[in-house]
Amino acid sequence: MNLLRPLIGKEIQEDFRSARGAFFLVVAALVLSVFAVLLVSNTELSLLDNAQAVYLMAGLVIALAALVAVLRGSEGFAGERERETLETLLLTPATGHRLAWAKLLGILFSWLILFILAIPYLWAVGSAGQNLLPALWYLFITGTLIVLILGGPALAFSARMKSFKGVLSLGLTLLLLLGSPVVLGPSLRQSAVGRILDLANPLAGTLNTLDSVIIDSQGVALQLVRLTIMIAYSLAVLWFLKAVTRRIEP
Amino acid sequence: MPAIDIQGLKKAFNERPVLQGVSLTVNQGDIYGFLGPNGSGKTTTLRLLLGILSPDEGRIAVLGMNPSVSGAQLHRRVNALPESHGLYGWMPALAYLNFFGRLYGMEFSGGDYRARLRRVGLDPDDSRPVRTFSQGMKQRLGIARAMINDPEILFLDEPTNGLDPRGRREIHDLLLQLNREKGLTIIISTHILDDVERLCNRIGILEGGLVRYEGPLTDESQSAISYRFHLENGAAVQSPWNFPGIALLERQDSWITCLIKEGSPAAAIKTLVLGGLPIIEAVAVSGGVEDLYLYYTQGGKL
Repeated sequence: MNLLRPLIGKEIQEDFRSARGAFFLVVAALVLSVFAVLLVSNTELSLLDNAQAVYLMAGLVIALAALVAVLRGSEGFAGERERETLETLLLTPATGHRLAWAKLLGILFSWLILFILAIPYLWAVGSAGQNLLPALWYLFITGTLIVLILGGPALAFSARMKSFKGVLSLGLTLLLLLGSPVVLGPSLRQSAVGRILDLANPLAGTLNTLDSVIIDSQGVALQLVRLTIMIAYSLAVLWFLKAVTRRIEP
Repeated sequence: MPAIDIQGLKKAFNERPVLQGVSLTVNQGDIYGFLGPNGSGKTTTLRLLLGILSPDEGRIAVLGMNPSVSGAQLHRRVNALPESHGLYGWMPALAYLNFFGRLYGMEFSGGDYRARLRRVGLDPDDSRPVRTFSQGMKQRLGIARAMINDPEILFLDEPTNGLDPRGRREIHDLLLQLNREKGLTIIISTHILDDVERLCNRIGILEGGLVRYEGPLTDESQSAISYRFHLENGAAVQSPWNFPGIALLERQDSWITCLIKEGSPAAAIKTLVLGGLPIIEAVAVSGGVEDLYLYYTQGGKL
């Protein structure tokens, strides 16, 4: 744990003290602001009921979280390698696993910042409704799992691949693959294949959970299957990351 | 026990062999110069010694440990300065040193870190981010980082690259002081032969994936002497070179540099003239690392 602490500290500080972190916060705030303004002022969007507005905003936060996870995961080792700082880290007594855990916690920290940033926006569009608090809880839980499920593999690829762009392309492709079933039409989603895709796809699982909690006001019992699948994915990702980062080359 | 002992080290990348059976020994307290042309495998050898790459074949012992097996344990006792410095541009120098000190589990006070920065000639109160530092300041900070765990062996890859003469002299003095006062074993991989002549007591010359020479800075096994010959303008040097006992080290304009391995210089000059080389001037060149380097990186055959 002693060696992990400075590594986590470095990852977190990098978010705030490097231009990258500040740029991301500004972009995220802009996107959330524009969307919030649309939800309250656009002729059609402003007609949505309170729960639907919160659901749309939560979906946007999940999309941003998925992007953050892929971007930061891809940048994890590949970025250090391109900036030629990885070798000095590998020279220390910190093992590949420790470096990977620290980077993963750094990604989770970025998600936490995004989540905190999103709270006032969610409050602005949903404070008049009744499901804001459960929406926040489930957004935090599913967002954390999505960040683990997408950030972990991106980090593992970046430990093995030399180029940041290569890892990023792979990560974004994975994200598109996971995102594509979400845009299937309602009839297709109701078919057997659609149901399996919905259940197996963590991104669909997240959106369905948020839909169920925020719009349909359903309880935790109905979320258990989807959450269990996502937790299983997260554990598999952690195992994969551990296996891949056993040895990292400069 | 030697500080480093390598036997029959082999390493290939994508089936392209880089090291083809490297063997060398570095004694405790040595300042060992590791020389070789670009792509000869110097950096790969250093990375294997540090355990951040694994060998395909061969045996490595660094302080009696196998770096591939005891990496974390070894890293507490050795350190290295890669050619790229490995600095985080957004960190101030003191924070950078503090970060690595904690990674090595060193229990230093703030004053200790400041003293370490002063020792390499950096101002601990300088709060600018490292990216604004000059090349020399970055190199000094890199050395301070490489010394943060008080290593028994220090690996340096091109430590004076990009430094002005004064900066190089200061780095030389610092390394000699560390070697003298703490008995630090230093391995320097470099192209700058002046660094080697000022610092090293032993060298290894790597070429074609093999150590071609290992020993003191002058090859005591040889009584060879170098000569520079001035040829008549436009004179052609026969190809292939076919003068037994005389190696052609370098050709530059109308000058050639040869290593006379056997016989006297006079006899060698006579052989060359009779062989058709129109020599109009001959200058003896002092032997040294440069001759050894040129000789052994051209195949080492006379």
